[in-house]
Amino acid sequence: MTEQEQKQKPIQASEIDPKFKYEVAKMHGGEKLMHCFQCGTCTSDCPVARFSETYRPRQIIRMAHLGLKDRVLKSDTIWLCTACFTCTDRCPQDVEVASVIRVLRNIAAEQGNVPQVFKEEAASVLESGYAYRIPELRLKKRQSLGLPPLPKGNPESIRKTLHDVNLMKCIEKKSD
Amino acid sequence: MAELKYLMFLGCAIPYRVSAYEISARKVLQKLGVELVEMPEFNCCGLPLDPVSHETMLVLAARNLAMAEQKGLNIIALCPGCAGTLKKVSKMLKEDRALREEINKHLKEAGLEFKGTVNAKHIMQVLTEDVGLDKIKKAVVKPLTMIKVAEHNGCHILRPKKYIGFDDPEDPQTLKTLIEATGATCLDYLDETECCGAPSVGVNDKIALQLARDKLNHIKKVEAQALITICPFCHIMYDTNELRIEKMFNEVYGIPVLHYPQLLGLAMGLPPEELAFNELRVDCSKILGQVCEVKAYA
Repeated sequence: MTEQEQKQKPIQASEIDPKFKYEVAKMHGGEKLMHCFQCGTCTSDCPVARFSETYRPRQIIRMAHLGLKDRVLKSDTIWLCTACFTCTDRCPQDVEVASVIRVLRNIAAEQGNVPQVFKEEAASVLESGYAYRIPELRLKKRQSLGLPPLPKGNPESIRKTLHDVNLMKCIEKKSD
Repeated sequence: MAELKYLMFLGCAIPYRVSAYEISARKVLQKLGVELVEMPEFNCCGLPLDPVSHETMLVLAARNLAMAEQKGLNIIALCPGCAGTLKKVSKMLKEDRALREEINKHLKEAGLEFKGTVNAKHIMQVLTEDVGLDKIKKAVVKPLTMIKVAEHNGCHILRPKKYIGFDDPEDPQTLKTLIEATGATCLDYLDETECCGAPSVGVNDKIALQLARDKLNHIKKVEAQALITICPFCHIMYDTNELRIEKMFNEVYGIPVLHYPQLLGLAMGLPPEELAFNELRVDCSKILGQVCEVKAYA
C-alpha cells in the first residue's frame, strides 16, 4: 500500500491511542505539542511540503494529537523533514514543530523503524567517532595537501559515554 | 581584543568530501591572525543522529564541549550543523539543570563534565564578531568589484532562532556583509533563506534535489556569476550535485559554487591554487579568469 493510499484509509476507533500525545509531550522538544491549533503555517512554509505529495507537518501534528500512533510512527513521511526549523521559527503557538517531528522519529526508531542511512551513521559513530567512514585515501590525501592529521576520535570513550543510551545499544546489536 | 585562538572543529562532512572548504578556511584564518588548535579527540557533533536518538546527540555534543572546557578554549566550526548543534546544546544544558545532570551522568563514564564555560562559534561569527570587518576590509588587497554573486546561508547557523540567536533568520545579513567586504556585489534573489535539501539525501533524493534545483533556478534568474556558501552540506548540494540536477531536470546552470573563504582568499590576494579551486566540481575558470586579470594593489 502506498503512503497516499494508507492516508486515505478510514480511521478506525481501535487505532486511536488517546495517551500517545502525552507520551510525545513528555519528551524533550515535544512539550508544546498540545499548543498547536492547526493553523497550517508550518505546512505552508515547509520547503519539503512544496515538493512532496505526502509530507505535511500540520497533518503529522494532528495525527499525534489524535493518537494515530501506528500510522504516524510507521509512516515514511516523518523521515522527510530536513530539520531546517522554518516551521519552528514561524509557529505562532511556539510548538517547535520540527522538534515534535524529531520526537516522533525517535519513538519510531526505538521501535526499530530506522531508515538505513541512520543505522550506518550510528554504527560509524560507535566505531570511529564520526558519522561517515572517512576513506583511507582521503586521509592520505590530507597529508599530501599539507593538512593536519584528522582528529582520531576516541571510540572507546565514546562508547563508554553512550553505553546507557537505549538506541545506541540496539543499533550496536543489529550491526553485529 | 580577545585572543584569536580556537579549537578547530571539523565535523564529519568536511574531511569526508569537502576539503576545499577546510583548505581555504585555514589559509584565510591564518592570514587574518587567527590561531587554530587541533583537538585530537573531538567526535561527531551529534546532529546526524538527532533524528534517531536525541539523547545520543546531546551526549555527543556535550562530550565535545566538555573536552573544549578542559582545554579552556572556544570552538570554531566551519559547518553550520556542527556550530548550531554545539551552540544549541550548550544553551540547553546551561539553562536546564535537570537535563545537564542527566547528560553529565553519561559523560562521567569517560571522566568528563559539562560546565558551560566555553562557546562554540561558526567561522562567519568569528570573522564578524572577533576578527572584525575592519580588519577583513584592510586585508583585502584585490577588491572583487568585477563580480556579482549570490549567497546561501546554512539553516542551522540561523534556526531555531531562540537557541542559536545569531543574525535574523528571516533576513540574514552577515554573509552578505562578508561578501561585500571582498568588494563583490551580493545579489538578492527569490526564496533566499530556503533550505538546500541536503538532509533529505538518502531518505528521498528526488525531493532533496528538487529543493536545490528550485534555488539554482532563482539564482540563475538574477544572473549571479557564482553562489557563495558557508556550509559543507549546502556546497555538496549545489556543487557536487549540480550536474546531477542538470541531467535529472533537463536544466543548464553552470553556476560555480565557492566556499566563502575561497572568495575572501582571492580578495586577499591569495592565488587560486592555494585556495583549492581545483577541488570544485563546477567549472569556475570563467570567474577566476575575471578575477585574476586584475592585479592586486599591494
